[in-house]
Amino acid sequence: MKVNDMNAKAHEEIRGDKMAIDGLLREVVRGGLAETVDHEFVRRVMNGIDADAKKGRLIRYPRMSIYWRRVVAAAAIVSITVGVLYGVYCAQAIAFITSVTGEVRVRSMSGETLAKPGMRVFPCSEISTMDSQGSAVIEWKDGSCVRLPGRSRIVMNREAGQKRIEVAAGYIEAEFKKQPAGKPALVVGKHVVAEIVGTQIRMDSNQAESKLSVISGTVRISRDRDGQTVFVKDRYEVLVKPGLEEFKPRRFYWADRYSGGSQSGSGVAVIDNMESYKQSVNSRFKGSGGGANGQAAINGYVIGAVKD
Amino acid sequence: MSDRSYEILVCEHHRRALAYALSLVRSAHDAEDLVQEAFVTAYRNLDKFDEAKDFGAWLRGIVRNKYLELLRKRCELPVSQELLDDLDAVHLKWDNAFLDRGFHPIEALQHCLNLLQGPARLVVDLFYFDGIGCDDIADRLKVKTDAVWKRLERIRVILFECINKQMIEEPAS
Repeated sequence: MKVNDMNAKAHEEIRGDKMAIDGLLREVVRGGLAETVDHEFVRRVMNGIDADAKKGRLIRYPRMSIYWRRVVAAAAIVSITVGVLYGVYCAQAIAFITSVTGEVRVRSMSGETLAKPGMRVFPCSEISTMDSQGSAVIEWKDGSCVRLPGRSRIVMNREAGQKRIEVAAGYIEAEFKKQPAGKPALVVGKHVVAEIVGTQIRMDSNQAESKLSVISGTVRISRDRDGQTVFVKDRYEVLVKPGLEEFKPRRFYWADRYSGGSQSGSGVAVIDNMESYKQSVNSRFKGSGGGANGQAAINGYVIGAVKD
Repeated sequence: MSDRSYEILVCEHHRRALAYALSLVRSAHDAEDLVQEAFVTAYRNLDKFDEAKDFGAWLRGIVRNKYLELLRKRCELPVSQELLDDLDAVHLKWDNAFLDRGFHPIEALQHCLNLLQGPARLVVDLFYFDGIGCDDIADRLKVKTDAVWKRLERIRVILFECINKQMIEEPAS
């Protein structure tokens, strides 16, 4: 080793020693000379260890009172339950498409798709027949069914076990089986809401008037204008229109209107099998359609339609 | 290890660890923070500590890492690795002396400071205990600032030799 290297090494050693003494002196100044234990600092270290240990066990957010913990827990349970129920509800099909003619589109929460026979219809689904010759028939699990003619659009839903069809465009022909007590099926048009317990009726409605024809059973209908209510028996019909004071059922004859075959368009539905209309009893209908632009008829193969 | 046992370890090693940290950083607050964090880290990693080895040396290693971490955060350059090793070597020597003879460096320093008299003791008192800067000390003693620096350097060497003599060569009776 050369002399210069030796000097350099000696210099480094001295520097390390000086650093050590410097630190020791500073510590003496900081903590005092007499004692070898700085109790205050030891306490600080132990508190730091304690806090660190607690931090490991507890997440750093303000601790909530028991009351708020219960509130948060209850809210979480409710949210989860609602979420699960909604998921189950939405995942459950309410109806099936049984036949399709032409281009028919189904739009649901999962997107828009072309309708096919056998396709399931989920709540809040919008079904549209795209061309004038197209049609679709949708059947509920209880056997009720709705026929959607060309250029029509409906939104199908189920609310607490209650069927609901919103006719957004065109008209529908529908058949409803007897509905559960207190949960009538709803047919909603632009100005018409029909509550159907399960009956066999037909309702034609246009800009000027609404006419309810009962095919079987008994229907209660109330007029918007004055809230007057009448019961309509099978094979009777009642007409509601502005300026017409009369509000009582009149007899009609099938042969006058239905001579067999099927006719669609212009809101007139055709009954193929008259006997099938006489199955339902103790049915009620409550509708309001005075002046509304729509038709709704409910029967074995008949008829609910609401036109724009 | 129980908290009480660890507290005994803290009592035994904290001042040495603080002296080590104060060799590295100027601020007493920084040094205290470094040592506290080192003790907490050591406690957290006690299962990794080899009991056959010296706890003080292990703790200094943690302080050293904390110091390097602190300077990285502050974008400052640390002292050289060799100097750090040199500092560790000095402390290791004191560790061994303490283990052999149970004589604490602070006790040795106390003894050596008592031996330090005259202008040397005055400079130490002014610089360390009164916290007066070298320029002011130079003005007060009517000497150049460099002379104060050199005097302090010499005093540190003297104290180091004295402490070594006390701890290693001639332990106090």
